[in-house]
Amino acid sequence: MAGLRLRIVTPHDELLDDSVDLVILPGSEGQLAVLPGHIPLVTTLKDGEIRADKDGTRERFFVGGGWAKVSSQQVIVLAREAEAVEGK
Amino acid sequence: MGSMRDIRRRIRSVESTQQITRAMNMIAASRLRRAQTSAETNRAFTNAVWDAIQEIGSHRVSSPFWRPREQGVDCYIVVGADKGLSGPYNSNILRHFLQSPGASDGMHAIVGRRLRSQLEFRGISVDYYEESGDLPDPEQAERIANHIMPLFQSGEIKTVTLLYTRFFNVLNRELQTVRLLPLDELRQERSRQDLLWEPSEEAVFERLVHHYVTSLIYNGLLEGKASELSARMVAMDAATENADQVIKELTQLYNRARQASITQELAEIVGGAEALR
Repeated sequence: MAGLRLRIVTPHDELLDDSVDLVILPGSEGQLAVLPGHIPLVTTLKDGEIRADKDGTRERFFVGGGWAKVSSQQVIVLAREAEAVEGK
Repeated sequence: MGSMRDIRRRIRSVESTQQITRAMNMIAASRLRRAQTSAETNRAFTNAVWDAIQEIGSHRVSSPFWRPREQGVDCYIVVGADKGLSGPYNSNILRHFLQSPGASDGMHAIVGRRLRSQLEFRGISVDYYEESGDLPDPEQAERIANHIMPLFQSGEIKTVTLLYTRFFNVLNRELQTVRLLPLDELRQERSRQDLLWEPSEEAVFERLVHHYVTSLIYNGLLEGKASELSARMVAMDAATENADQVIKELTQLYNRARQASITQELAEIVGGAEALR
């Protein structure tokens, strides 16, 4: 049951546009877990790791110089740089 | 015959020039494709940032980024080329810039070696300069934004305007003037929804505007580069064709000279034989 649309966009490319169950963001005020139905939120991000859970698998991305806009059905991450992290 | 050798030498020189123009045409064509793809992917980013600014902006009308100012000078970011050989690309953007209000006494960020030297020749000071390079890099846009944003926030600059050439297709380009700061009036007032801000509204909004300005500059760089390359393609294509024409004319001239020398030699032989008789 994937209910949250996660988009990661950088000036170079759209890295990800997918439905996920849970997103963990490196918020500037601390880590932030977002589930579907989260209240609207805008936050700047620290340089760090985004984790996205989908059907029991975890994907990881590195972001630098970004911010995120969270609404109940969607998380948009806009960053200067972003990269998928390979492996575990 | 001296003149025959001269003509042959000229033909060879035109042929080698033609090889260069043909090569430049092909290089421009392949780079153009890359610049176009980058411009398209960047558009998604710019749109997303703009949407967010619109939505958030309705909460923060009091931000200094929205308000027009009286004090300060105008700032233009002008996107030109490092090299010439691209038809009217550089001169068009230069003329456009010189006609803009406040162009002669502002603080300007110039992209492109050629554009800078043309401005310095006219005695217009360049506050910040960036080379155009092979293909635009987000870092370039970042550097320009990092230079300009503090000047805007400290009040030295009252407006920031981006001048670039928008690329439609190989034959169609258009000069664009985009006001970056202060931000335009909102096109529509969104319904007020409660938003959480981390760490604070000011900090988030500042980061947002920075992203917005950077991505628009990057977009201008990409569009400008695509325009430059397409203008170069067209110019080099015309030059290659023109070289064909010149070679044809010279070959004709060469053949005529050769025929004339043969005729003259024959006339001399006949004349000599005639004299011996």
